[in-house]
Amino acid sequence: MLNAKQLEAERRLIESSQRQPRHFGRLYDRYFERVYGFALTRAGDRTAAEDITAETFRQAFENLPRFEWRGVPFSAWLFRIAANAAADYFKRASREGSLPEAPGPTDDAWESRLIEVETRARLFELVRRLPKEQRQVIEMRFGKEKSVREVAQGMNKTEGAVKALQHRAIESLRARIGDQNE
Amino acid sequence: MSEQLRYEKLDSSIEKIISSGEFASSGDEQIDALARLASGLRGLPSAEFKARLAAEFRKEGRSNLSRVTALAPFTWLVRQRAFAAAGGTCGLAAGACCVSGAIASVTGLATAAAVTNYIHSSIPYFFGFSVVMLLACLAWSLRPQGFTPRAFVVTVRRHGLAFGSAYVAVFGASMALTMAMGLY
Repeated sequence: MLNAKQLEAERRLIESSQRQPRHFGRLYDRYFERVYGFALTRAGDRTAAEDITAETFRQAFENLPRFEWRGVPFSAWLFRIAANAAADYFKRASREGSLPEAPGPTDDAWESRLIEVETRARLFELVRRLPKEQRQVIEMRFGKEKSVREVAQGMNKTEGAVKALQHRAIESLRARIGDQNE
Repeated sequence: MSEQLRYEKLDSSIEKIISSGEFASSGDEQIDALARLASGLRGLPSAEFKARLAAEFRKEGRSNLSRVTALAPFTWLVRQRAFAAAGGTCGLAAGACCVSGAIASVTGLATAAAVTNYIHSSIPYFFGFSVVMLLACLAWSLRPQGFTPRAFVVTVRRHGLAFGSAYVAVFGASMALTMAMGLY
């Protein structure tokens, strides 16, 4: 939950992006992980999550001049756009017959999964702050779904070294998540 | 347990998470705790995707259309669109006698003199009707906040300009049309 100071900073950032569209990048950086985490939790599939995330930010960019600040976190507005984008995605996929499985939970059940979204987004954000080599291993393993052998080849390291880096990265993430929760 | 063995066990759990999305206990509490956390990393966004999408907005942000739509008058107009539309509709109601008279004259349904007479005699009624519509719109916009003097002042201050300008513009345009045609 944002405090009054954080909400004020958010309001200033939004107004700045409304005046100068090139400042939208700062909003994008701030909310990318949360929107992607929302889309991923909703869709359960990376390709769908990427489509939904891209569509959400495109619509947010287009509609930002119409956004009126009412003291509610900006993420609530983005999540609403993302929920609609996800619904459209599933309708389109269902029409095209390319939907492999049923879409995520119903809207009611969805409310209770927002904590899961926030936790996931926080984890994604923390990956960006890992030391370079640890981040590379995590991004290649989980972001590109590469095997340890492929990661080792890509980083010019032994498989043992990659496994050690992977272990240290996850331990570090666990410690950082713990620090944030305290 | 040696460090090497811990790395192997964690990697084996991660491999299962990546391939099947399922978390399976390794029998080691500490490794399981790390693997549980790692399961939240499944689907981690690729840095390339994030950068590609960011580049799209950087490009868009520099486009001329985005600059125009971000100008203060444009954003103001977009936010006030509902009130401007309501004001314009009321203005159209006030000027309906002028517009209908002009149409009747152009299509030959009535002579210019008859249209002039009609506009002269009916314009107060149309104007009165538009005032009733204006009041109804005001009441509608006040409804959520309650009918208090403060709410009235705030609503008029926030939306009066958009509402009034649209009313005057549409009503004025309809009168200007009949004047230009020599009907009023």
